[in-house]
Amino acid sequence: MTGATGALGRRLACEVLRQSEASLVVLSRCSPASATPADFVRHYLPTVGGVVGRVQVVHGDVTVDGIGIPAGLSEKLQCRVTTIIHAAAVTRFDQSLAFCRAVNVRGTANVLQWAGSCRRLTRFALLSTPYVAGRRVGTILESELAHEKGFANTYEQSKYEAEIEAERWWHELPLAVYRTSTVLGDAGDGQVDRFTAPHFAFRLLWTGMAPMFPGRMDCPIDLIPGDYAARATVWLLLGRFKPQARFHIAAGPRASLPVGRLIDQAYEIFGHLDPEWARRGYAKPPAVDAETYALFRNSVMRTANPLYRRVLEQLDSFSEQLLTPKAFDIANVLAELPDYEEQMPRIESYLPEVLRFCVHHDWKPGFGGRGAAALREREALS
Amino acid sequence: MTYRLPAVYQDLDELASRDLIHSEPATLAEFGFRQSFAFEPAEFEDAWLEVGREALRGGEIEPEKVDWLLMYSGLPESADVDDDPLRLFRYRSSRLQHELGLRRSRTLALSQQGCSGLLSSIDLACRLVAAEPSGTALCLVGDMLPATSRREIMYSLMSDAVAAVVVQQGAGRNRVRKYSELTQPYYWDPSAHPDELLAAYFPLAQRAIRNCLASTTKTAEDIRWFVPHNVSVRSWEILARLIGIQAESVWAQNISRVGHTVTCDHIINLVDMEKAGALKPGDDLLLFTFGFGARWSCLLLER
Repeated sequence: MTGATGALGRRLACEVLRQSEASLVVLSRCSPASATPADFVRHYLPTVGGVVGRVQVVHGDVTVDGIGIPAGLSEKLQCRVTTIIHAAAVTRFDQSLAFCRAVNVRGTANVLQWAGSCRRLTRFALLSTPYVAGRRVGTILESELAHEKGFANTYEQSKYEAEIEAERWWHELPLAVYRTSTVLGDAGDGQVDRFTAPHFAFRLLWTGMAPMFPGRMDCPIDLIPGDYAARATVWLLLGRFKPQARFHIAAGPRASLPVGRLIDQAYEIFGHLDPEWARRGYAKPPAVDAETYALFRNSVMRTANPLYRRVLEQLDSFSEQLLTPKAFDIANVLAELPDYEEQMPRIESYLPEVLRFCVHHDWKPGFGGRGAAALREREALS
Repeated sequence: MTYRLPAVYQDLDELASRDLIHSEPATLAEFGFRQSFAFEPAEFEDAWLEVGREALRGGEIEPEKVDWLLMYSGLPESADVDDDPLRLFRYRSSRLQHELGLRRSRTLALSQQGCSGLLSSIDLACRLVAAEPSGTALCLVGDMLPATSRREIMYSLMSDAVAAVVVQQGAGRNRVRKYSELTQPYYWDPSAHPDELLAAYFPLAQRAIRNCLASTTKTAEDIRWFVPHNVSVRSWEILARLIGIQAESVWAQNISRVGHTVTCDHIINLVDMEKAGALKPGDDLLLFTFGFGARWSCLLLER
């Protein structure tokens, strides 16, 4: 497995160890947190007990030929490995295309090349994103890839190119692609592994700094809990593996909420979390067309207001999603896991805990201290 | 209606060279501003009297017939008391009543409505004169920023001004059809919440205008002119799109020439619209403003 130290990767690693008896070989760049299997399990898999003996850490780097594993060790692994999960990726939206390509495209090519020499390989899982659909709108089928609509950011583009790279190996390897939608948080306790654009959007609502958003109130937002995404991916991979297939690990059209309802729910949740917040009476932001939003954004960028500039930049990728509404079809997933939708926690059920987590952790260290500190203080007093 | 602007103004480069604006001159120019007028203290005091006299003369109103004098300033008067606390009670409103010869009128000085003060005063005047047999109120409004103050507030270039309007029962023009406002007192301290206020401005402006129209039989399309408070042209372009009107229906020609006065924008604009021949009998006019405090206010007039 590559990328086992990432936000989704560590959840996948947990699920592999929980759902199977398999040994897990983790490819990781050398760091104190992954120097030994015990270090790795302690840092990245603290919730899974008794698995140190099933974990092997191999130091390497997907961006170099042979994925950076010494030749002798590489050959031994290629004789043993039955399943490859390639989850290593640059997932930030603000990185250069060259850097994203080096990791996401070249890295995928290197892992695929290495997999070609694995004699016992029965499954190769490429982790991707449904946003390889870029600026396409409407229903996005799992079987679809190629398009010329462009991309909102370098992450989308490089993951698209990685899937194109994988297509070259489509008939050479037992290869399947798992496109994970936007992970909001853990359905159980609301834990957020990584704050991304939707979290920042909720932060703007919490801090009363959301003047408007582009698109329409009925634009569907596909969000999925991280724990369920990992569980479903590993179900599909280990229990229902189907090569030459792509899967949207997504909420799908029926469970995606319109942005207007998400805003309504967030206001309700924030009001319950903190009655003082409710008393402020922050206005809900209106939905505006692309031109109006651009006019507003350009005006803000002309001013010397560093806070607003920063929040708008953080929201850019989310804004693009709102302007190119799409629904991710999940027919392939349902064909393999008919009760996928029934088992998936609904966002209404876990959004309160996710937002509570966001508030308590100030979204990131050092931000939003006033509201979060006040809330913690009130809760401590009560 | 009438107004006075100071004799002296400074362009953006002069203001920048004297550190009187926060933003780059090019940014303020892009937002539609060009210059800022600033009173001398004595000139400011004279201007109150001049506009009061002119408004009465223009309306052919005997001073003795005025029932109410309403005076509004959005900025606090400086307290220059030396060692004599009696000087704290030197009220401008009483001086104006005296100098204008308004012997019969009752006088109220209003404050703390920010840039909404004019519209609030007109609303109050309407309610007061409605209780008189043939009531007349003279509203005087004006503000002068301290000489050392910067001339830019939240990306708006500020000017000093004084203005007057007579409110009469049964007046033949500019009939007040509706006044409405949204208030959000959480924002009472703008210096503590500048970024939140900026975020709140557009959604609540949109809601205030929609609420005002919804409480009448008018739609946005019925409004011949949206008479603005003279904040940035860019913000009006955005607000126009939010309320679904053409930017051309906002009479924004004074934003460049005058900038934003705390209280006088609507009178300045209406007087100049009249001079420019932009107003016709029966036109529906919607005056909108935002005032610190905070409030989003609309006054619907029929020309």
